Amino acid sequence: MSPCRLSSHIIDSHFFANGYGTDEARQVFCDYRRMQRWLDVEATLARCQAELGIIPKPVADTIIPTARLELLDITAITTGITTTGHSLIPLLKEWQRVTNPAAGQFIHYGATTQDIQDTAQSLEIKDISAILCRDLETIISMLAELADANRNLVTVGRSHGQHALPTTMGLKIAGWLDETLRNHARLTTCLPRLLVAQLFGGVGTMAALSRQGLTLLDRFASALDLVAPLSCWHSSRDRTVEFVSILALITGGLARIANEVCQLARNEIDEMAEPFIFGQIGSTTMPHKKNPELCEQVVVLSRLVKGNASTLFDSLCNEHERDYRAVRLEWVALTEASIFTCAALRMMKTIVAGLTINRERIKENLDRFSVLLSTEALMFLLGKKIGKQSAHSLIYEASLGCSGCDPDGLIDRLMAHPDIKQHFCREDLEKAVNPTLHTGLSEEIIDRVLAEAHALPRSHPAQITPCQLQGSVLCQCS
Amino acid sequence: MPSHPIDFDIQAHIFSTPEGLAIFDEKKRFQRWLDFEGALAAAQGELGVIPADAAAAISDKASLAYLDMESVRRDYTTNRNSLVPIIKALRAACGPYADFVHHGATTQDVIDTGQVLELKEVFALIERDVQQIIHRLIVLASQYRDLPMIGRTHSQQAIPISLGLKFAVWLLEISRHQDRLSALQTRLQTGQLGGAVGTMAALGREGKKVVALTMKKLGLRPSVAPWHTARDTSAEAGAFLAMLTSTAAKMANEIFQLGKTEVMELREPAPRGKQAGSSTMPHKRNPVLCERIVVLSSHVRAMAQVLTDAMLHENERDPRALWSEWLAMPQACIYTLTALHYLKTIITDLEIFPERMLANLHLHRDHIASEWLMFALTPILGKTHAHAKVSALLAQASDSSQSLRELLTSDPELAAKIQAVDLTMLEHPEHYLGLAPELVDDAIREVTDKRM
Repeated sequence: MSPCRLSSHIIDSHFFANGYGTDEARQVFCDYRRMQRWLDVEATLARCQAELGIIPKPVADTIIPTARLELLDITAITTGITTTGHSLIPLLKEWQRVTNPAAGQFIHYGATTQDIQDTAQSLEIKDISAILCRDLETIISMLAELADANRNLVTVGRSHGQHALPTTMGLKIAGWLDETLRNHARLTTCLPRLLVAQLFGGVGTMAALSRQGLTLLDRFASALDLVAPLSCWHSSRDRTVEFVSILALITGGLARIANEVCQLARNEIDEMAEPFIFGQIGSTTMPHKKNPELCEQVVVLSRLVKGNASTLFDSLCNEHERDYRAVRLEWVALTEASIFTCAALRMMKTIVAGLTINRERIKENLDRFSVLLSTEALMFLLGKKIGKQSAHSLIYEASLGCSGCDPDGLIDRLMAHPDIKQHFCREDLEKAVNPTLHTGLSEEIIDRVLAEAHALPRSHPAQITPCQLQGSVLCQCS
Repeated sequence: MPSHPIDFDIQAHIFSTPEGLAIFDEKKRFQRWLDFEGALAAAQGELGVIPADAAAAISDKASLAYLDMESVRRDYTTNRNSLVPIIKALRAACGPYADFVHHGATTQDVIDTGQVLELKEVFALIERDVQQIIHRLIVLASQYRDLPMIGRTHSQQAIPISLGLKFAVWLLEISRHQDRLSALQTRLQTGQLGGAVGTMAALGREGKKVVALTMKKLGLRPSVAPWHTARDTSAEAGAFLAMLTSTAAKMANEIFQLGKTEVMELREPAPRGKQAGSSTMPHKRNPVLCERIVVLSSHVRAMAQVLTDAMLHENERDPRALWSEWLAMPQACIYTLTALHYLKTIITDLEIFPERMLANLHLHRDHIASEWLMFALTPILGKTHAHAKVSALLAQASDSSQSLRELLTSDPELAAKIQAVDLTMLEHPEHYLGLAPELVDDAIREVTDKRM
């Protein structure tokens, strides 16, 4: 049994963490990795500075190999953060302690704390983005397959919660797919703008970074596979806000799908169901319950991410050259939003992979209300002879007294009208109310979306920075 | 040229009500500011701070009718202060007494007090609406105290409730809002008069008396100390409106969900006269009012957020925070009044379909009786085993064409033991209402007692 670790955030819950995150995503933001990442960024800085002759090469050779968290006294760092109130200095002090004291003088040479932490944050975003791209692409493939397989499955289209017109399940799913494709595009196009290094010193002037500051920035950024920004972004947080906004869009899109499954899984509708695994218990007191809990959780996660995004908009209004009130919001909101999004994607993969589409019920619902679904088609048919607006009023009046469950009622009522009787026979009307004949251009629309999905360039398999602590006592990653 | 949906002329009163618009009418707002100036002058006159004839003249002229509104309009294009053009026009109207106008007050004293007077009117209307809603819900809860329908959790059918219980839960929630409202009213009706940085420096030695008397004349409470930068009450009002409209939206959404074609247990009343739900689907009857309430509540929550952000005032006054109230508060109030108006319309003539309720309840009759059955089997099998047994029987029932009763009575483990158990509930799960009807009575009693 693992000991109590005093973790109280649900993301880290021993029991419930899976509902709010994935191991993969949690590992990106792991506390220890984060410290190691800061050391890695510092070591990269020292290496680049040595290459440019800003610090002596032997110094770099001495300090770089000691930039290892497992060599440092973790307790001293923890205590140091409490007593100094500084997030980075205690770590650097420990590093200095274990390295050669003279060489240690060149640690963190000319950088400001936020240079290191922001750069490390860009690396975190990079890892998370790799996960997001991979999962979005998986979901895109799954939805494309599903849309294609259900292209001819006619179902009820609904608006205002009411039956509206016939559509196809394929078209509904193609709509999900199209939105997911847009989110994928949003993510991939924002990354070059987002994944930037930060190395500008105390107030962004590079004053302490030597005359070669800009060259150093280029070298530093490219060593970390990041872009060198034009100027500092210590107090300009649009990139992070953009990223989290995209996370909100992604989870919002997933929530739409999840909610639709939930709604269509209502007993009275029963057209879809999320995968049910035998052994899953819906209710402690109602043995029959099969709850769409994955779908519900996706909706929950999307609301949480939206909250984080909204919080981060407050980080745009920064004061002067640096303003920690913004950055500290990111530490919570970016971390949560990223982990929640990864969880939502994982759940959506499960939902789509095991989605039940209940063809029989779809047909039943369609047949039961088919007449009402076809009033538009009827209106155009009758309109040819009596004018479209007159047809609208006639059908409106006739359908008011029609329960919807009585397929012949409306036709009877219409046929009783002298104008209709004069121009049409009953068969004409019956043909007009056959929903399968009124799915419009659904198939062509599906094909357009599928073409886009198939043309999507696949990114290479997600490359997530491996844990630098693996093998050390500090690493408990599975 | 109305460009905000609140003010639309042709699509009038979709996002507003005539009452709400009347309160926030621009000229009425100006008049409230003038009422403040009149009350201030009258109080200062009585206390000898300004000459009595000046006080009389100012109180008399503090009416839009005496002001040159063209010059006020012109001044607002050049002057960036939100009050000065009005004061200037009032001064012009007061002739020789001009110097005694707005004596010792600051702009924010006037505008804050004006807002409080507005809120007093708004909250009186809200109080009226809330009472009407409570009254109607009491009638509905009592009328449908025993009407069975299926209860749903996780959007899935669970076990039966009575429709009355659903209404009773709404009733109690709205009734709690009424409690909140009464608590808020006292805090809300507090005027503002403190001078430029809240020290009353320019109000003279008699400052506190001036404040007390001015507020008395306006029908408000004086504030112990100025609250120019303490916006907690505005934020509280916003939070209250957000909660109230969210409850309305919860109810509206429930009616929307229960009015879906396949469910059709409740439906918002049809509009009067012949109205098409859709331009292209002649059969459509859409729950538009319910949908509007949901939309309005979403805006009110957003406004409440803005009003909470406005609490972050700096120093002794901070227009950056204050001005966001000026946009958010009228919207939040108008949207709330609109949502309440729709809600009253909906629940007054709510369509209720008991037959559909029963039919839906019987859709998965066996399943719906499963909790009852589990407890019926508990004395025989123990609860854990009973849970497992019922699950197994349900699975068996859905795989075969046999009913639960048939399976139970032919089950080797149970057949003998179950003979004494009355199994009627299996065919009539609608009787499994628990204490729902009594809970309805309790809810009505609680709310009625409170209202006495």
